[in-house]
Amino acid sequence: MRASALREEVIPLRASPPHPGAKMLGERADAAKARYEASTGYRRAQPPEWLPAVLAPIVGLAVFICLWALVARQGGRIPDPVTVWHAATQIFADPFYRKGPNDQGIGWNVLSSLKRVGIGFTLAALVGIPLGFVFGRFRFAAGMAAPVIALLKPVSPLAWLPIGLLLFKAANPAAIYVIFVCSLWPMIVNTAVGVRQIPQDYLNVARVLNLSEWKVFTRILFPAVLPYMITGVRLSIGVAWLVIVAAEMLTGGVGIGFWVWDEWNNLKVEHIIIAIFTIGIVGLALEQALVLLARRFSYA
Amino acid sequence: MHRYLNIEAVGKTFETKKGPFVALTGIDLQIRKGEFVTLIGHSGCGKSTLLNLVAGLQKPSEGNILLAERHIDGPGPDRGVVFQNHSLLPWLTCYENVYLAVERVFATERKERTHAALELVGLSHAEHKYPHEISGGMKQRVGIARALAIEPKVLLLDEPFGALDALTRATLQDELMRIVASTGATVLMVTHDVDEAVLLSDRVVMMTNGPAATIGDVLRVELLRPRARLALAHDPRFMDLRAAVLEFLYEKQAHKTRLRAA
Repeated sequence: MRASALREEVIPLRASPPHPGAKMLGERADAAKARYEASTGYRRAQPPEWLPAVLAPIVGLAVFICLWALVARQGGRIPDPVTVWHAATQIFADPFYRKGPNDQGIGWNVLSSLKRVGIGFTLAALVGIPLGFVFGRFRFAAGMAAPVIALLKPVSPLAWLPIGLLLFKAANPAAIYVIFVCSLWPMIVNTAVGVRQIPQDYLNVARVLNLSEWKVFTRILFPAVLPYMITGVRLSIGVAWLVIVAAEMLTGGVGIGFWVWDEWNNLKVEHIIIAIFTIGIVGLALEQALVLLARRFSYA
Repeated sequence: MHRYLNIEAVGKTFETKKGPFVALTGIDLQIRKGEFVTLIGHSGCGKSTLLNLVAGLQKPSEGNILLAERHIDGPGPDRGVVFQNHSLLPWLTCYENVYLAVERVFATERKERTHAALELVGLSHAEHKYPHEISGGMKQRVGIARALAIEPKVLLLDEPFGALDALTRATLQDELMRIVASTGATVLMVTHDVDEAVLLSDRVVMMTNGPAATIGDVLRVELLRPRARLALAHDPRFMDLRAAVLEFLYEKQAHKTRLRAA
């Protein structure tokens, strides 16, 4: 009895139909507009279509800088945008100076970080992409690798740093090793997914044409997997650029991460903010370069 | 050569989770050299499976398939296959797609053979375009060029025009008749289009519904070649043949669900 009483209370939900007059009203408005344009010879001025697309980022950046200036004004140690801008013009006036191993221009610091990322990342590609092909092609190998990858992938790359120091007994190869480890997983996983996604049609073509293993690889597997590989590379390089800053803070030497830490020790906060922007811009450039590369190799 | 392609007592059973599934059983079909044979039947009647068996993409569970007295055991360049969805490699140009097949079979005159195959299908002007730059009909022509370029003993077509619009389909059917006439190719084609089957074939092989599908009836099409689409549209013999196929498909082999509903 109770249940049925409750059921009666439920109001059936239904999307209300459009008002019967809606269409007519819309048409009337359009007709009025047309009459106005015809009688006056004027059209209401419309902003060009590209304008919002250009305006939005500019407004966004302006709001960001205003907020920053407001926060800086509240006191504390945060330098305001103008101070940072002056410091930046000084720093970028001579980015490639060298005054001993611990005092070098920001250009050298960025380049040495990029070099570490480049080496670690290339090694990861050399290992990860072939492994990805193996795991994509052979189910048993994939089954073997799955638990290991699942276990190691969520580990912060920095946790590997002590192992790197232990193995290589030096800071620089240890940092490269951390980059290698963190770049490896996206490369393996994406390549393997790419191999598994190859349409059966293409493999049937290979079979009916009786292509050699080499031709199957160069003409079918490799080009079919390439877009996935580039995605893996893009994710890897993003992670690597995140990780290198932290790794260099721990290992020291020359590098943008070390520079951030050094400027913190010197209490030059404006330099830290410059470093943050520099890291951001370099990361953005890396990402965009790979997006362009990916577009070159997509066959839509 | 009355048994150029010889399909002898062929059956195909798939192992599924619910136990064995008999797709084809007791298929006997002999095709002469230069003959054009179509397989027609309702969807799921195993006609594509039969074509895959001849292509060597799958192996028969029973029976034998012989091509020019040689046992078929896997795919090979003596058979040219045209797939329904063209299956061109998108990162290669039309020329490179055909060349890939040519270089596998011939050691000499590879470029000439590739050009000739594309010319045969009327695509010399689009040789250096990529598949995404050309229309669906043109893609299928490249597919036909790729299959013919290796000079196969038999051309296997799996619903080659099924994905095309009616006008393009008609043009390509005419093209195919011209190409087959000029090359003397032996053709086995799968279709579900009655007009297409009657227009193109020397024999229409009508398949019963699955599971355990087999050949229900074979219809000889003794219309003179070259066949003209428009003239045949009013030809009583053509209309009779067409009616015979329709009768087979919609009366004798009407879908079981439809019978139950009636």
